[in-house]
Amino acid sequence: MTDIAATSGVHRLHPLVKLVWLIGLTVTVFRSPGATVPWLTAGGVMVLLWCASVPPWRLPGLRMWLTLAVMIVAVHVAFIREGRVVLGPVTAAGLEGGLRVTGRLLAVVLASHLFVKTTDPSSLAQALMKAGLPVRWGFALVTALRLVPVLRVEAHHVYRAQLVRGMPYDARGPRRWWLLLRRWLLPLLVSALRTAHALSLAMEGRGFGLHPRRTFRREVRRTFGDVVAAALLVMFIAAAEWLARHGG
Amino acid sequence: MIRCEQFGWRYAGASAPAVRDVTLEIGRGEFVVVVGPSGSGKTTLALAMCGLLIGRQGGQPCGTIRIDRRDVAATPLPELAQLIGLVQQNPQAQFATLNVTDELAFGLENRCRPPDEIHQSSAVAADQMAIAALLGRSLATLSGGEQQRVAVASLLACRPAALVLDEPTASLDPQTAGELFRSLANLARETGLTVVIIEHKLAQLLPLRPRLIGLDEGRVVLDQPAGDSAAPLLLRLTGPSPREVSTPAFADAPGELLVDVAHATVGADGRPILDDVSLQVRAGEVIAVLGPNGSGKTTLLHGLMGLVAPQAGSIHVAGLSVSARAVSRRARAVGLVFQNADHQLVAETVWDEVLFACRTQGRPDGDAEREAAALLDAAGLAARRGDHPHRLSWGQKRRLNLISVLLHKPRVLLLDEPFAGQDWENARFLLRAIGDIVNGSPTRPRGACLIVTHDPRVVRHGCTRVVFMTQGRVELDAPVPDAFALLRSRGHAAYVETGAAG
Amino acid sequence: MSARSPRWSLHDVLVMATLAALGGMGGSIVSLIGKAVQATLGTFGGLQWLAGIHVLWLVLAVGLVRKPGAATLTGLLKGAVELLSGNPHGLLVLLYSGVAGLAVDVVWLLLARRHHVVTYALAGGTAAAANLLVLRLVADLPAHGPVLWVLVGLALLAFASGAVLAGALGWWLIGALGRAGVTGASATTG
Ligand SMILES: Nc1ncnc2c1ncn2[C@@H]1O[C@H](COP(=O)(O)OP(=O)(O)OP(=O)(O)O)[C@@H](O)[C@H]1O
Ligand SMILES: Nc1ncnc2c1ncn2[C@@H]1O[C@H](COP(=O)(O)OP(=O)(O)OP(=O)(O)O)[C@@H](O)[C@H]1O
Ligand SMILES: [Mg+2]
Ligand SMILES: [Mg+2]
Repeated sequence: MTDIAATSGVHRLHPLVKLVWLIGLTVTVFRSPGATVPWLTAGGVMVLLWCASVPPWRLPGLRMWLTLAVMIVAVHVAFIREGRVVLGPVTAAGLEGGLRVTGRLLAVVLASHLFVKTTDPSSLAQALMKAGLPVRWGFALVTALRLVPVLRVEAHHVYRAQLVRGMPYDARGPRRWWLLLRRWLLPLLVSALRTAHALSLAMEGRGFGLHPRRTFRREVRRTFGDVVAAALLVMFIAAAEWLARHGG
Repeated sequence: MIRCEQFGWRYAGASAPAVRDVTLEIGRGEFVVVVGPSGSGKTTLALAMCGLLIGRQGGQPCGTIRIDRRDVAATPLPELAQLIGLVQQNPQAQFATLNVTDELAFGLENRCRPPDEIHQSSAVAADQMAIAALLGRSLATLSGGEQQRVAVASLLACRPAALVLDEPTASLDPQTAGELFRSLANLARETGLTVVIIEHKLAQLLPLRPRLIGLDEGRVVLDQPAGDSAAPLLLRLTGPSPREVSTPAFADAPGELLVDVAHATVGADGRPILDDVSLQVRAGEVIAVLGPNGSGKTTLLHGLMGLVAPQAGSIHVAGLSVSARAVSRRARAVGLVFQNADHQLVAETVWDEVLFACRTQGRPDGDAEREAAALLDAAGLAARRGDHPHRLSWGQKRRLNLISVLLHKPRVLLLDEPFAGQDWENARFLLRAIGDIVNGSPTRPRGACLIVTHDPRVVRHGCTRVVFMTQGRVELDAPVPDAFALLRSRGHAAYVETGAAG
Repeated sequence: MSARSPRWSLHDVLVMATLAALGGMGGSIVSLIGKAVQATLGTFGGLQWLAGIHVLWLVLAVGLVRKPGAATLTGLLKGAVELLSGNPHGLLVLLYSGVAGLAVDVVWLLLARRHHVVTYALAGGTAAAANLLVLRLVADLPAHGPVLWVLVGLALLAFASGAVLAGALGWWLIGALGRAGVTGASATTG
């Protein structure tokens, strides 16, 4: 997930500052009525990605997004018939609508990518807990993240274990589908729930829940960079608001 | 320290109590080993001692258990955690964080200790379990043995007064298991920690002079101080006396070639897991596959089943290349038992589970049912036919796994640690059933079997040949009597010590 | 979390986290089942056939934990897992998944929390269809003419998928898990 080896200014920011940035950015681009703010934001995030040495072309699902973007623009262009005609059936409003939506999506997706690539999930959970998230929900997040690879291996094992008992999973057609749902999902869930149970015992068995709060082995430090980033966010929102008022 | 008075427990929906009339007192700094046949209530007792049963599982308790004069039933679990800790069998299921350092700090963070103290206690615990080199590693990348050590250390860091371990070494190689036992015995002696271990590996534990507590059918039938002579229960558990015939009756010389692995290489993530492995197995042979954790034993069996394909070399089983046919079609001729008991359980009752493979392969039900009933009976599971397989004890599940593969008589059996957690009575029954397939019958040709095991008794009494693997290679391939001497001389004595009765 | 929500035991929280992890790893499960479904039904309707699998975990959360809010919180956790493991939808996935959870919770509460297959089917169907509503809002699609009809058609498809794959399957799974003795606090650790 996170590229811990690489460190940049963005990597070193406090996780909460980055989270607030991500949310603030998302809300701002979705509130902006025009296409300018989303596209400018997307450009800005692209620059940041480059600074943080996260190659933007490695974006997950890039192909999917490109197709989707084309489809969205097409739908808008085809079905919005107001405003000035630009070319043949294409109207300005339709084009603008399409660009606005794709710009928004692009900005949010790129910013999320930047966030994920530069934030350590444990630090994020810890920062959230320090900021008042009840500890059990903080650990719910940590646990869920930790279990993803564990359960993936587990799912694979269950599948193979049944295959070798003669379960025709390697068959074709509806039969396979039905078998997978009935025979595979159940043992996987049984095993997952037993893990949850054993884990609850193991955690309480080490004093989890003794106090409503906890201490933390390591500090997530706040730096001057965080203050700057927070100030930049306020300026960004103000600028977007200004652009929205004065055409854009 | 730990005091049980007339303690008993019956699981919801069970006909008989799993544990009854247990009266025990365990003092501070004692090193206790709990033994007993599979299903005798060891796990149940351990859970109860740590306060994980009463009020947390459906069932009916009687009597009391006190830890340091506090009734476990009346004490909230997080408070009890300051007195007693439980290491469960599966370390993966008890990690709460993402890396080793966080894991060691977890218990102390829960108690709101200051960071300095957390650092210091974690460092001490890491030292005690010899895992200082692992600090900072991601938990997902550790081997089974390393995970088990981290699990123990993370409890030690909380400095409980007592530690209970439920078969902590079931999937560890004998070398690693022995080291873990010695660390624990030292801790008990030097720091006054009370240690209660549930184990079947007595060969390695007895030299550490533990107090032995024996359970049978939920009752305490043995309680003797360290170093006493072997009681009848122990003999039943630890295996045959030296006088018992030591080579199994495998009739003739090896017959037709059933497994042929030629220069097979299997890799993952650019690293070889099996490295140029060659192996031939003929009808009538039972091969013991031994080796340290992570040496590629499981991968070898999966390769033979066709679950992983070799990148180089070839694998033929029963005359066919493994990639030639769909795995589910090959299940008729080749039976595989997985390392994890839970993965293979598919049906909703023990009975359906046993008959499952026969039904997917359309074998006539009448014969199969009669035979299934006989096998279940011999495995001590006859009374549990209608129960859900997940309600069985660990060893019982393991037997169920094996029976459910034996029933349709595959020609080649691949068994991944089927004997972990089995007492000798059951192990012997399983060995007989395997022998039945290998020896064939007038209507059925002889078969072959590969068993991954860490249990020297099984190797001595049930196998004809040993294949010892290290780091993805076959280091040694020799008939049983010679193999033992060779392994000893090459510094792998832990794999062949049969202990007390061996 | 809020004053009116029930107290969550650690066990509840971890069950929800586990379901979120299963849903969040979706990739493998959805693709495995997805391939089978696609091979059977062809690609008509795109991925809406699978909408139900994404919601199944939320229905299971309600059925296993049985407290109001369980599905919403599981949805948010699942979204967070997906976001942090690099889902291509980024922050939006939190929205999809949270809204689906909310839909499950609302339907379940409206139907008086009854443990019945119809409850789960309606909850699953609604949640799966809710995804399209979110999609419409996010993509700002014009809601008239053919676009509307296509959206309604897809929503119906998603509803059917949710009702079957999340609702009916979820109902069956919850029953089977109960018989296996792994629901509630009565699981074995053997
Ligand atoms: N949840 C449950 N419901 C019903 N019966 C159970 C449950 N858990 C365990 N049992 C039964 O209680 C008995 C004792 O089980 P326990 O797990 O304590 O055995 P054990 O001594 O640890 O055995 P093993 O060595 O095989 O692990 C067994 O017969 C088992 O089948
Ligand atoms: N799918 C995989 N991807 C990467 N590495 C793997 C994979 N499967 C196994 N390995 C690695 O290959 C090595 C051999 O694994 P294998 O499970 O065959 O060992 P083993 O001899 O069965 O060990 P154990 O005694 O612990 O069961 C281990 O280091 C393991 O981490
Ligand atoms: Mg046990
Ligand atoms: Mg193995």
